[in-house]
Amino acid sequence: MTIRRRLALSLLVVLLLFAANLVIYFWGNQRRESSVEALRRAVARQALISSLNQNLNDIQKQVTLLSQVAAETPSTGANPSEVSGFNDQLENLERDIANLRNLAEPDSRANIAAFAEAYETLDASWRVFYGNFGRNQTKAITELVIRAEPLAQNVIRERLPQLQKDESARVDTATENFYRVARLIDRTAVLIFVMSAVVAIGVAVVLSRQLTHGLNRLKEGAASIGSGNLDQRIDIQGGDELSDLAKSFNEMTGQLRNAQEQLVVQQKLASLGSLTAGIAHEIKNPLNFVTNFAEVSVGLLEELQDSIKDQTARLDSREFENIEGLFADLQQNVAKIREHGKRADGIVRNMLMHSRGQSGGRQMTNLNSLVSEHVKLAYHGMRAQNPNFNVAIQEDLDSSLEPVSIAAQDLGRVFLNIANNACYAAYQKKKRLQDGFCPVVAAKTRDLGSSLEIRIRDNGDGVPEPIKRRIFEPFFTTKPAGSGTGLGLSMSHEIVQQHKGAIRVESEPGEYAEFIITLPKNEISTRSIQCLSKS
Amino acid sequence: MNRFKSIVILAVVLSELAGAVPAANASDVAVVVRRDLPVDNLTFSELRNILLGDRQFWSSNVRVTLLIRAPLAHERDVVIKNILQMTESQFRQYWIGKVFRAESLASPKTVYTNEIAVSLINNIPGSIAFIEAPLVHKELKVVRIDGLLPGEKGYPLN
Repeated sequence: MTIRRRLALSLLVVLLLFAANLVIYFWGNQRRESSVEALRRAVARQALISSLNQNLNDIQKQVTLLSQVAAETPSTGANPSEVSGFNDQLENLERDIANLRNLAEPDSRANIAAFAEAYETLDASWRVFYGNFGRNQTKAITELVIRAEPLAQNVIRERLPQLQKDESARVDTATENFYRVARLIDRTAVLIFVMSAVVAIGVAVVLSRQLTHGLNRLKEGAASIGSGNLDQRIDIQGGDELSDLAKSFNEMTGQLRNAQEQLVVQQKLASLGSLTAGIAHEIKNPLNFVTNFAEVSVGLLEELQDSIKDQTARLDSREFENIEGLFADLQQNVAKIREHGKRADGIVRNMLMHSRGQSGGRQMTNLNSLVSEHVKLAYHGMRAQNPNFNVAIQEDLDSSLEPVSIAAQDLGRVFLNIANNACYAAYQKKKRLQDGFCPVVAAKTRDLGSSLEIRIRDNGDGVPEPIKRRIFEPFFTTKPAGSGTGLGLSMSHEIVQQHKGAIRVESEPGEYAEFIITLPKNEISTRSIQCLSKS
Repeated sequence: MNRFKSIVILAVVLSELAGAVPAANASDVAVVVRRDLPVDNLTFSELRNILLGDRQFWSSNVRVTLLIRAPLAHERDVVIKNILQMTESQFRQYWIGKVFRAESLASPKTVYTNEIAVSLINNIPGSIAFIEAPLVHKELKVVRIDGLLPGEKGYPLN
């Protein structure tokens, strides 16, 4: 799992913990509000029942004392305002009882309804008593004694205390429930908090350990490589960014190792180049003698032939013909010696030119000749290394090209590198396909108007797409170890860029590969530019 | 002739009264209840407890309803002074306190006349009233006090 995913997962875990805390908070709040509401209703009912008790007792006392004390003096009974006040008291009681019914819990509704019903009878009886008091004493007292007092006994002494007892129990239950809920919420909140802390710490520890472990491994690996151990490899499993980094690090170390080996090869090649230069220089002197004396011999032979022609009369005709034949053979031989001597001189000169390993300045150069010369040089170089090597060289050079100002030595290296690769690829395919395949390396030049184009094509196996993207990278090679340095195309790319030109490759895998170099004319005019060739 | 008739009627009435209360003294106050109340005799102490509201039920679990004449009536004076040995004010205060302490849901019912008392006794089971002995109606039961009826020697309510 990647670090990004791990971090996202950790964030998700933290968010889930937050969500859990939030849910617990709302759940607790709802439970707390519910318990508080139940407690509030129970307390309200208890307060109402207390109020009812007080008011009922007050009215009962009022009625009792009225029947005892106020009746001591005969009167015409209560006046309308007194009756109204008494009725108001009874209506207040009725309202309290209605409120009590509204606040009643389902399990207490039956008791409260029975209480209310009993009270209604008592209420009616009290009204009869109060209405008849002072007017019809017998009826008033009879009503009081026969109905009101037993009802008052039932309502005030039995039903109301039972309601009070029930409500007291409900208040106790609600209070207990409130504290139980509060304890539950507190414990749950603490538990969730502790769990959240534990999970968060766990996630942080696991994540930091994984990160620090990987980073420490990388740090140790970097230190080891920094101390020169290029065989160091960092092994980090897991498929995350750190393991990718370790893989890249290992690849980098491998490339460093390759670069180190290539440097050794380069040094060897440089030594070989110096040796080649020395040898070529030594060969060049005797070769000059061969060439020069061959030329002199051609002249001497001509003079000798002229001298013999003057002595024709003294010679036998058959003998003369024989001598003529010998002369002709001798002249042909000497001419061959001179021709191949010059050719050998050209090869040696090119070897010297490349073995010097340094760029030359710009000079007016025939691009066609430069291309042709270096393609052939590549061919001969391959032939020199491998007698069985053979490819067909095809040239399609634009004769209208004017001489241009280029760093001929540098561009020559470019053409040589590309032609070398082309010969190599075509020959490899030939080796694989044998007689059924005719390897061809073709060189082509064109004037495109604003630029000149050079194409070097081979009908080898082509360049696969993944390789095409990396083909100009330094030290990248597909040749077997020791066969290539991986620097040729990289160096070529750089040289072309120094001429403000471009190099690209077109290929059909299995069919051909074609390197196309374009050089802008305004950059390769007679204007002198500094050449920044790579040494 | 008319005079004779009057004498005969008086003799009949007196004979009737003599049948209800033996040798009734006009100042004696009879303790009366309904005839169906199974109480014939009360001790003086029991009567006092009833008047103080300390006894609220008859033995038959019938509630005691105390009927007392309004102030200034002779029966009330006899009850308060002879039985309770209180003044009118003390009696009133006693019952107010008892009601306010919620020691009793009921208090003595004040009646204006003996007729009302008789009517209430007939209407209310367990009611008890105090009526001058000569005025006691035959449909009521006169309760003995310490075994004595009004007019008998030693009867305490006079």
